[in-house]
Amino acid sequence: MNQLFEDKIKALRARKIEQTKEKIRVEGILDEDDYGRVVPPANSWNIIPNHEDGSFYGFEAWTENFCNLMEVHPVYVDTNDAFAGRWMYFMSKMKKNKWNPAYPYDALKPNIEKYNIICGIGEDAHFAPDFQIGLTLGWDGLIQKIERYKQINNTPEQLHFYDLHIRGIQAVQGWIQRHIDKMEEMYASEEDEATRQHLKEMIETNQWVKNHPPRTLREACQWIIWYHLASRTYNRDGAGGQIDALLQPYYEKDMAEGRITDEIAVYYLACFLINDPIYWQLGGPDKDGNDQTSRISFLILEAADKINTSLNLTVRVYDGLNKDLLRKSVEYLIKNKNGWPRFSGDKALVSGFMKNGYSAELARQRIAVGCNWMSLPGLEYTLNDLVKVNIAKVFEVAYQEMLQQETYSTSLLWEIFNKHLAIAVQTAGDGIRHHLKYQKYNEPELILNLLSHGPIEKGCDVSDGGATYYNLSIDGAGLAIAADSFAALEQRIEKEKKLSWETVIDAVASNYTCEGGEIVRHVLKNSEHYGTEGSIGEKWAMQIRDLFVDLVKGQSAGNYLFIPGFFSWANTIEFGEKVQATPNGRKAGEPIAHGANPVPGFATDGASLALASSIAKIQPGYGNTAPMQWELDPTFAKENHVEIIEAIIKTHVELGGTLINVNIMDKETVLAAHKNPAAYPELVVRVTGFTAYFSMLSPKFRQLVVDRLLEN
Amino acid sequence: MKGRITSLQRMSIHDGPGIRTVVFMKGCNMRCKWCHNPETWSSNPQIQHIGEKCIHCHTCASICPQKAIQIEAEQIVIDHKKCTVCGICTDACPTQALSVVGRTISTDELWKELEKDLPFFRSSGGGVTISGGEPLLQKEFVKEFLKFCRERKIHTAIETNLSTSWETIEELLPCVDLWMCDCKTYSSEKHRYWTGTDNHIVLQNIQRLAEKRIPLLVRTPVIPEVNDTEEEIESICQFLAPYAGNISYELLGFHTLGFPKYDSLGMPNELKETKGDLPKERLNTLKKMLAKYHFKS
Repeated sequence: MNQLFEDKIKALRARKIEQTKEKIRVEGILDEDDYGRVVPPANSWNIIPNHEDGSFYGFEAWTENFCNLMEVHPVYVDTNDAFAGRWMYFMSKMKKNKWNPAYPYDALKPNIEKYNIICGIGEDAHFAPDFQIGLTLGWDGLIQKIERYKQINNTPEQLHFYDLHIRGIQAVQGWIQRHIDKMEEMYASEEDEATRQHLKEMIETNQWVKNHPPRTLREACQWIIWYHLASRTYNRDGAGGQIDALLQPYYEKDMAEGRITDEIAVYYLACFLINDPIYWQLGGPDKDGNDQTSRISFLILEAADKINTSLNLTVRVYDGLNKDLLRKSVEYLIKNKNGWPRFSGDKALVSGFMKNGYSAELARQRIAVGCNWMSLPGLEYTLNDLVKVNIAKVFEVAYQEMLQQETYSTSLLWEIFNKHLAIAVQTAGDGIRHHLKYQKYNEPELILNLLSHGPIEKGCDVSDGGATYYNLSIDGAGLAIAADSFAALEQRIEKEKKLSWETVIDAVASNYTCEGGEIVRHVLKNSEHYGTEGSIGEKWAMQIRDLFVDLVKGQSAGNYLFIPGFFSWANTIEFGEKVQATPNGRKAGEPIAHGANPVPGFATDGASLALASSIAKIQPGYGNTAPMQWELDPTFAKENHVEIIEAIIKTHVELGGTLINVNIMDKETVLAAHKNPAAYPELVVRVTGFTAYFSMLSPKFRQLVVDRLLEN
Repeated sequence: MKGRITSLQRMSIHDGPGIRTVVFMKGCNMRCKWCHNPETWSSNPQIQHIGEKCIHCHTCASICPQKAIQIEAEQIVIDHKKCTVCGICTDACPTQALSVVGRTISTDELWKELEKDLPFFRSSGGGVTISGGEPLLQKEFVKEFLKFCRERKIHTAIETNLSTSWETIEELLPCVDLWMCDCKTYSSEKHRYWTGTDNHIVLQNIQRLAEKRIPLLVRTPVIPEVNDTEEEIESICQFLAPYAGNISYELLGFHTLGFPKYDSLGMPNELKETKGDLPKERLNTLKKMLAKYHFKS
């Protein structure tokens, strides 16, 4: 690559490291994605409450706050960058309460607490926009579309709805204009000719995309960035799309017309990717089953390699995928050891989603655009990754109830567990229905409505009937803790008679601190785990999976279709803190197992294969995921093992796997970074579905990453 | 048919192409002083105690019917002469610090344990490797099992010391895709001293396999002060040189990772005090010598 571009990218990376350090210094730790966000100037903007509780709710207030922020939002221009703008404000986190108190759900709260459910009420985004709408229409085109539908849907409420969206768009356009003004100022005072030329191009790009649909690769990237920055600011929306297919026409046109070279394209794409670690998918089938890989898919990977920051690219693996793209992506995974890309499994995702009654064409369009989740861009409202049932907690409730009975057995425990899991899932389902009923009065989706098929056409919020499909997600977490607990009781007490119920009950009750408790703990801990093929643990895991899937599917009614998944996101610590000691030898408060993963240390030999097989088998099977969190030993993850790693990825997908998140962490580096995080501002780990800077994680979370590394 | 195995190792990537499951047979006719798998020497089951896993609950000592386990300074000491490997202590051990190494298994049972990894074998071009111990000591079992694998189109490899009759090898030729063997030293005297056996038959078998163009990988474990000289490697290279186009040849650096196994099995380790890992630089220097022979890659 041309030295100038190399230098610019190097400077962008260096600035990014400084921004990460500043975030830690000013804002402290964050157990989340990096988001590409930078620290806003101190006391530069604050929310405008419309409620006595100091928060703001509803369409009017959200629009008011968003537009007000856009008017004063600092501009961000870096002459090393091809694009203007950065995300700074976490609007949804700046408000005090998540849910409008006018719509209480007190009746659900006791069970939410009892079963440690993350209910999702008041949560936002977590479904995908269709960027094609915006790229086709541009900001003015979106306004014109709204004006058109104003003629059709003209109740006072609908007219108000439309006006608020137009205000939102105009606020974004004003924000872009302020960047143009700033760049013109810089242009006027710039003496270096190359920088002046660069600024001139940035100005022209932004002048065009402020109103019109993009015509070039650079304009398309800048348009996506503006939309995304607005959407991030509004409510942290991090969903991307099929980025290679979205950008391909612009790239090809630019190349055909001699406007760019591959080098320039890679520079643009590097700037595009460093702006925000959005979830983008590469490769995989289009709706007709044809591979979407093109030249730009490779350039995106190349650009990602150049910046090599926290990234969330997913390669869709299927039989028709360009073999070179898969090989290249595995090579980058191994070379950079930064947790990107991830790999999604088309076969199980498509066949699973079709089991809900959808066509193969539609199922293929449901792509990886979130932490653990797939979405149909612009077509569905999902609450993906926002509603979780702590299955380990449900087990604890059932176990405690069994202790009140006269006799004990795993069959009795299973019966009680069934009852409580049913109540827990019903509670989660009721929570979702409550959310759907009132979310428009709480936090309407002002920005995501714009790139959805329906809200503008129908004149109502995407959460309120505007979406084409409602495929609502409920995830189970802590599956392995419950499965292994059932297994340990069955194996050690009922089958082998090595322990008595009384001994186990006393040991668990004392958190294994009673006399002989530690011995009992080890006996239980070393029973047959979920994660070993054909084990008692696996049998229980499958039984729990089947029950959970039936219960979640059973929530479906009318337009609302419920889809089960297994995922814990970054809640493994928080969930674990709420669960007392469990009969699988886990002590009180220890983190629950990760997503659908077995408990760490589940296998002493061939763990990668056992993991890949077990998680492929445990899939809930309706198009939502149970990701495989794969900790790869760096001594194995070397260039000469690319083919082996690729074979494991392909086999997991072939066996039914839906998503693979890979971490390749060097033990010494992680341990050193744990001691002194500030000295490792560039160290990226894939925490779950998202990557994060290790130095930004809380000590508790860093410890979890370290434990996972050591135990695997 | 039943055979005696030490263990299975899933996802091996160093014992043949692709992802492999290695079957370590139990029993060996050599006694290489540097062996990092001493648990494979005896054809009989053995008790192994892994100190790191022990929580010092002393359940084993209290339960052993032979009184073969004593506690000395809080540590478990097993009298292997008294121990009958009845397995009572291993069943009782809460942490699996104690285990019986070695079990008898039928070819059907072995297949059942392996078949879960067939999809990984297929996607990676991998398969099954029979290692040891010395697999050819259990020729009939190995032959039946490898035949079974070949019929199911699974790639088969065997790691043998080739210290056996040509007839035995010939019998197995139809069911082995890749042969792997060591050429530990060229000097017979040295070979006898360090392994307890003569190497004439080994060298002869290497020649015969190579002449027949049977896929063959020859390896030399490079042991400090045993065979880590240019002269030693040169002599092996010259022996193999006539067949360089037919065979592959690799050098493997000695490491001490197997040392704790001797302690855990109560076996003497003659090299414990005298040998350390072969320095990487030394191995790389010796590896460079191989280039001029153009062995098959």
